[in-house]
Amino acid sequence: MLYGFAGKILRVNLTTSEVSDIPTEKYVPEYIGGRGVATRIYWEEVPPEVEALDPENKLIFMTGPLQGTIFPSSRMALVSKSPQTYPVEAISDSNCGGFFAMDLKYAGYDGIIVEGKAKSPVYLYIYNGKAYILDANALWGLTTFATQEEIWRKHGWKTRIFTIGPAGENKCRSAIILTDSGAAFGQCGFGGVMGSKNLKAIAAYGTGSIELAKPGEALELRQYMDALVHNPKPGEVRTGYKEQEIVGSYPNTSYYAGALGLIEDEKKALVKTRGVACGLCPESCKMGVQFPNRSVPSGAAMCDEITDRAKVNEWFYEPGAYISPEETWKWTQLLQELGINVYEVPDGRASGSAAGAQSLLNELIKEGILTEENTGWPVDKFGSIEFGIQTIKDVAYRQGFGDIWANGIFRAAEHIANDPKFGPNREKVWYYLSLMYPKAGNFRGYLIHMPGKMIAHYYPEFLYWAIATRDPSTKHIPFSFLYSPPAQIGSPEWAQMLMTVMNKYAGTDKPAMPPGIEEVEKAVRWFEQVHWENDSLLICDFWFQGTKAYYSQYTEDGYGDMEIGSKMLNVVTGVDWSQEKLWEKCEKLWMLERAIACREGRRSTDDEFEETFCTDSSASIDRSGVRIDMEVMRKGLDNLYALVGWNADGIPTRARLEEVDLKDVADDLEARGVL
Amino acid sequence: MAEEKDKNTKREFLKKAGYLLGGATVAGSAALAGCAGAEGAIGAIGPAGPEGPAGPEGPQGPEGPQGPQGEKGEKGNTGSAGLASAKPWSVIEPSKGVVAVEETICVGCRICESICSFTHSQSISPSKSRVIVVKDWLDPNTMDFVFKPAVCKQCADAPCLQACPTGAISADETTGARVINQALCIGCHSCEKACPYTPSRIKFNANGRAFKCDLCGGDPQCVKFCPEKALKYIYDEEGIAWTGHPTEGGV
Repeated sequence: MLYGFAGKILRVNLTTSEVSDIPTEKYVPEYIGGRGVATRIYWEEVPPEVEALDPENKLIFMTGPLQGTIFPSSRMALVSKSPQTYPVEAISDSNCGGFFAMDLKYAGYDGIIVEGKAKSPVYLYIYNGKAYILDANALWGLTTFATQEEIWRKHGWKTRIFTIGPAGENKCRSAIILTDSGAAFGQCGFGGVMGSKNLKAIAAYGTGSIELAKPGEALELRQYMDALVHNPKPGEVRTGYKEQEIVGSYPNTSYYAGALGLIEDEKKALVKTRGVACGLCPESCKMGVQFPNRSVPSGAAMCDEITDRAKVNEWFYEPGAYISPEETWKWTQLLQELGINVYEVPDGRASGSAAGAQSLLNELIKEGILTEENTGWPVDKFGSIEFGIQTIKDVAYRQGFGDIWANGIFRAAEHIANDPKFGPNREKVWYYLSLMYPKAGNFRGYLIHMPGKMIAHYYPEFLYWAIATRDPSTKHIPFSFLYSPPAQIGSPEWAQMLMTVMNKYAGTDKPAMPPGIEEVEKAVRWFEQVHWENDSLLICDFWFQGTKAYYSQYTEDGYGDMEIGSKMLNVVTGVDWSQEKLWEKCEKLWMLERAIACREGRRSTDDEFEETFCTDSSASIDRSGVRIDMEVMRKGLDNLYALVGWNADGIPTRARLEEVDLKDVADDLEARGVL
Repeated sequence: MAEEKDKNTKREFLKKAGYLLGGATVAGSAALAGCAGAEGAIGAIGPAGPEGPAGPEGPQGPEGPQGPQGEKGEKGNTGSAGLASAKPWSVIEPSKGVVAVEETICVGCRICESICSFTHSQSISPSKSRVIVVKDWLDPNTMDFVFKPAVCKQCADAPCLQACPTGAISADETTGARVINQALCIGCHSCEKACPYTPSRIKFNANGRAFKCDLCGGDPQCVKFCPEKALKYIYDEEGIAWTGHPTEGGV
């Protein structure tokens, strides 16, 4: 018996309207679950010739062993060929919280492979081990919220739904797939892939159950985990939220209230907020918001989408017009309803750090490359709510200049650079791009937020970034490592904790302290192992590493339990792996993904940062105040390749692949002339 | 504290109600009929009714895509009939324990559901959970976000117990919880229909036997594992149970 899983993966062919099952046992425990299993299926089924928006591309949704058990969390991984990566479409992955994953398991499935393309809009309904492809003509064109409401009306409120909005329908390369509110597959533009398949939504509900291999140990382990987070502290009394008062049930909610601009007394009266959790997770990191006049739909959102726009204007630009919390929330909800990645919309901005496209847009407008004439956007109102809302709508519905921006920041930049309409300076768009977005393989993500203004980073993070297949800054593994010790950042205690943890698990403490050049590859390898552990067991990397694994505020010495992942896996599936063995398996998954990336054309040169990014006078500096050195980066990459068994071109060697039991992968790479 | 005062008044009320029920069965029945009437009102606006998403029951219908049609309005039709035939029990002691809910603190994580089903049946499934987390934050009718762990209130007058034709439901000696002896259960659903709350706090297992919250013998696991402490276990020797039944589809 397969513990911790429902037992089968659903295959849906939308071209032929056929559904079939694959036994999950084919892939677990070897590929663990989540991103690991999905990556293996991708390797087997998506050849490099396929383009992201082709019917032949597949959306591979996978849950991991922990979903639907008593352990957190209810996350889901999605692997597919991404329409967002640039310059070529490549394998990428996105993660989503919410509740869908657990309810999918109760409905009898561990994952879903969607292939082909439906003739007309459809949605998928999964109920107690059966799947139905249903007509969605009436849902096409609706917002994500309205779609969910329609499906709830038909199938009941317990049904959980993944849906795309108009942006996904219009195959935007920055479209998301949303569930409930505030949880989505945000990165990689997979909403556009779903739209290209004419698949509006996936709904699931079931009454099945999940069994654990060692039920006798489960409750104790759960209690042990909760003690590491211990939330609230012993003796602390929760206040709960109150109407007209911002008292969050979790400190984060107050933080979000600040982000939304609700801190000042006169604004408090406007809104009620509450903490919102994902499935089985003891944190409640999202903020639910409701405005009393209900002019804006209620819902939940995370930090990046809830930004006090007035504050951002103040910090990064000339103070713009005052933007009320209600208007900010309207902007946030519009992103969710139309289904667009917050980082990719023209004036997208994240709280505090202002990550996203708006810093690029700001430069392009200042440079005179983008004008009201050639974009049709009121560029003199940049920073205002009208500008934000118009541009979001234009992108989602592909109207005017929004049609170009809907292809993602980089494809839009390419268009701008090549179109004489954008004036003699238009090629400078590449210059600004390389200042803000160092090249990271085929994915040029959101590391740098303003030229020269970088939130603290250092070499282990840069290198981790350089070899990523997606935007790693929205993953929090190195961040948690750095910022979660329960000690004052920069203090000797803080440094000691970093060094102790890294020494113990990465085998060296040299990269712990900035700039962290020496032996940096060891730190990166360990970050990758942890990263794959999180994505395959599917634990939330936003909070898990920092509050349970690396450190804990509630243990005597301040350290957490790095082996909690294997402990949970063993109780749930009964595999009895040590943490080292789990990390070995994780490294295998990493090798597999790298092999796929190489099969799709990625080479060592794709791992290098842009020269401008490192050398320009307004380029970013690292957290110790030093400019990033290309030579150091190159050396770090070479050392990393050698450490993990890749050749000088960054391709996993045959010996290494065979060592991790991936001989078939080595054979395929050789047959294609990659190795 | 206001809560304390509230509790005292409630206790006095309960004592009076206890005498009434004990002394005059007629009055008792009348009270129950009133309760049933209220429950009828629940059924009318109940599961998957024309109002749609307010319908608190998920897709129960075994028939595929159309899902939840099964239970529509059923409650309203049969509620009072079920109660009229109920045995006039002499005195029902108010429960000593109850799980209280602080709705404003709940973050909707559903840990209580998974722990409840796990501790009772060693496998994890919300359909096996005694507590039901009602979540509805995009309801177009209210535009409100609602997370409510729907727990059994261990009613002082125990309509489920009253409704059971076989006497399968009784008050637990230690906690006063209204517990079901599955050996006596004939699966007639009378208790489910008698439950004044929506969704009904009574559920049925694969064999058609009823199950409900038993307060885990005095150590409710949902309370123990609620990370937000939104669930609290309240115990009082003298009985503290709840009688404020909703007049319409309350959770």
